[in-house]
Amino acid sequence: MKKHMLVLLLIVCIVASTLIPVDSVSAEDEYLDCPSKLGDISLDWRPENSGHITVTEEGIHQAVCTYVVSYDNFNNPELFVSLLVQWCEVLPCDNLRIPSGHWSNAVWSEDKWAFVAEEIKWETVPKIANAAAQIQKLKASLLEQAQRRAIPRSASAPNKIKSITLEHFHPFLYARPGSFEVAPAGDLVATVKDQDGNPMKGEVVVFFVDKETPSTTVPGKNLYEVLSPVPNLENKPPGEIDGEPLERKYLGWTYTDSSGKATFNYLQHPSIDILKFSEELKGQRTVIWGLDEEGGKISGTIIAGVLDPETKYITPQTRVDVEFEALAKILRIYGEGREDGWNNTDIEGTARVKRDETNPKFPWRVVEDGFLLMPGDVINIDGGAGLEIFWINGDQAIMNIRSTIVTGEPGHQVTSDIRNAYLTIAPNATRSKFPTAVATAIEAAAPAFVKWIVGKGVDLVAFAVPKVAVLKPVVQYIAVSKTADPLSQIEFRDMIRIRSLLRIDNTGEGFKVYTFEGSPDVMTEKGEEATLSEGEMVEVAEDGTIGPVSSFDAEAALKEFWDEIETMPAAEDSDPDGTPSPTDTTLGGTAGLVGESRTVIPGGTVSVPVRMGNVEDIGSLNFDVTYDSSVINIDRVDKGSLLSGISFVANPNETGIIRFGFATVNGVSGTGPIGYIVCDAVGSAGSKTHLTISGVEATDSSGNPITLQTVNGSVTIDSDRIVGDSNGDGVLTELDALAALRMSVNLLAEDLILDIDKNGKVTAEDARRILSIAVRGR
Amino acid sequence: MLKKTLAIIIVAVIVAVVFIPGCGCGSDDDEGGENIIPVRVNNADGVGALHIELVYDSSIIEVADVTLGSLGENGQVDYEVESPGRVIIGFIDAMGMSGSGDVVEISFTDNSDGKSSLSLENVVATDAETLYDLVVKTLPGSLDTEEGDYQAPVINMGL
Repeated sequence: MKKHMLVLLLIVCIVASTLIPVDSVSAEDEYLDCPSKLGDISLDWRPENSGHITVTEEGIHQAVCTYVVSYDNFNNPELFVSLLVQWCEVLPCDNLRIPSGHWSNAVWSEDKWAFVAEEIKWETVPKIANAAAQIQKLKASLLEQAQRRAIPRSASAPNKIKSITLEHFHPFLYARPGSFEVAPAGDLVATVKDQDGNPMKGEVVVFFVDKETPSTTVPGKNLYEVLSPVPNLENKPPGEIDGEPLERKYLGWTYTDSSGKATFNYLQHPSIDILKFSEELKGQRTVIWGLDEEGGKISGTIIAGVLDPETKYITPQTRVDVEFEALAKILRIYGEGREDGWNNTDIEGTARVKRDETNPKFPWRVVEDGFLLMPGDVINIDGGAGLEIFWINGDQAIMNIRSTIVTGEPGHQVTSDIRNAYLTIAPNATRSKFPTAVATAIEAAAPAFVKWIVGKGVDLVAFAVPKVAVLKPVVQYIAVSKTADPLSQIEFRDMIRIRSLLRIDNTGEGFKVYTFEGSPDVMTEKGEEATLSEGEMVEVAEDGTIGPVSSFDAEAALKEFWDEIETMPAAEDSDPDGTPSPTDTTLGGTAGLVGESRTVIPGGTVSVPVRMGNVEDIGSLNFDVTYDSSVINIDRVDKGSLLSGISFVANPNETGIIRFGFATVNGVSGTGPIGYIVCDAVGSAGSKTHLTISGVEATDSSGNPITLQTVNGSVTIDSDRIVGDSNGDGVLTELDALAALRMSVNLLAEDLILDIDKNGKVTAEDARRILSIAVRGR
Repeated sequence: MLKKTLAIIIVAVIVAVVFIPGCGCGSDDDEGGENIIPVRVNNADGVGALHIELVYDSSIIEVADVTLGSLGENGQVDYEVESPGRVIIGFIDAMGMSGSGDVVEISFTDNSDGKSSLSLENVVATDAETLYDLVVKTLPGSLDTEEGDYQAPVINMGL
């Protein structure tokens, strides 16, 4: 019965596809039955897509057929070309393409075809006007691709006895503080020589791990057995070692160049799952050496051997031990930081680390250069200081925290103090996952300047700034990563990094680029280019014209920069107890109360939120907020949404102090506003009052006392406000856009500060523009 | 006889599926395929603005577009892919939303087969009347480009 069903189904499908003439289909639900056989050649082709037909705007019907050829059926590039040619004859193709990455493992030798390839995919789009010409073009292209990637083995290779040596570049050992040198982090460089000591070219070197060497902390398992997913080993080159198959310990392979060297990077290679790697580090709950102060560690032995194409045996071999104690390392901490950078007088220093994710856990402690970081570590660094972090694969983050930051348009600027900032080491902060981790870091670090460099030859200039309404022109120091050559010209190199330290000055007409380290290329949209060396600068006009290269004193300028950071004036602070400044709204993950800061025009009204952050099971709370009654007059206090359904009371009737309290039997957890202080600005322009939180008494729902950190708020009276900022928090957000939209239909009293297009009224267009700035920053 | 009838019915159903217009079968889980994932908001009464940051695995999917969902159909939306793997979405509705449903829909293009989590971060909700913040709780979603399965991320208003 089963057979009957299959046959019936097959017949129905064949009939269905036969009945669909490609040229006549008009809906997108039709399918082309892509051939599974090429002419007379029968191979193990595996169609992945049955050819879903789409119709272009021009009315052309197209179907994409994707095919995969496995290594077993693919040992001769000429045969491969002939197969593709036949394919195009069977079904003409005008857009046959082979993802270049799938060719990168192709190699053959002069004396013997030894083509090795991973799965190869290509797609073809039927419908072609000039099939014959396309076929010729395709054939030439494919042969060119194959030849370009081919490397001949040394002529006498099969007859010579080979030796192999292996060099390992441990990332941390080769990272130097403050250096932008190329660091081959994670490189394994095997050198193959013949019996006379001559380098042997074109030898296939296979890298794998020693099955007999267990991970230090995962008994019975091998490090890379865990870390490498090894999904399709059947498509990898066959090989044995001492009669044992390679499966489940194979890492990858490459071949030797003219100097006899084969380079493989185990941290950059896609077969290494860096998340699993990180999890391994995080998983070091068992103390290795029996001492509580020891951190996690994973280790293993990597073996490199030469694959004999005749026997398929891997011989000779060599090995190297690989060990990791951390995911990242603090290379350098620079700058003195602010004296009031940290509110805990027991913990001084410029940078601090807290470890909650891995063992041994510890609270905040002062750290210095060279400190090894584990996944999940949280770094806190003073304003007016900075640090460089180096990941195991060579990626690097540079975090500069200014002592103060100025935002807003000229004439509407707001100066804020930055006492300190946070940076969290994400567990996946390596390799391709790095940008995501940096994004996380930026979020955690705001309002800091975080810069990062991504390895693997990526051109990237990136820096992040706090989300503000309008940034004034700034002078910034940035790091640049670029490749010396187009990546396509550098075959089988997993990692190329060249770094430069630049200063971009856009405070005048156009901008100026100063080079302190490295030799970056400066390119403009106009197509002009200049290559700078250390101590050289160029001016770039607004139209993209690059001026002549000139010299400057890089050493003196750099010193001036660091001196500027280190001597930035501390913020005005009337709090003698060292509690964070009014603008420091960061609790750093600890439970606490935060008063926010707002700016309001003279005579205006503003609502200042008081938030509770990171709390669990708060059963009762009392606290006071004191203020300068000559600056503000309290209108009322509204309850915040975190206390929805909870008994809350606030007494604003005493001059200079507001008393808050709430109680609940179930306890309050989470983060959110507990109250809004609605006040009128009675002081003159330029006056300011702190909203100082004191007298905090909190218990959990069982009556046990709870300690809450506090961050004070403030109200500043200023005639100049940031256009588009309705609530005076200094940032344009969705709230401001909502306010503008409600004003545009008279659901809210009009405030022309939201008239961002300056047409004399607040309209929906103002809301749209504010929303765009809130989301896109422009 | 019963088995034969059953077989014919199964075949008929399969044939019918093949011929249903707009089915899109066989394309969703390929590279370059598109998946539309809603962001659901529960108990959205009075919510006038939302700031949403959604984090995903950019090696598997990338954002093609963000459009209004049924719940947010009277609002405005803007978005920015700030960095690979993070899209920032801003939404406003002058009158405030009502009920539960999909506030926005995010179109993802497949980069590769795999499963990406869809985590919500830094979600800020604002009351349309008071312009005060509203407490939210979020649940992550996921998208499996290989299987074509997804779970929509959810924003629950209130605790």
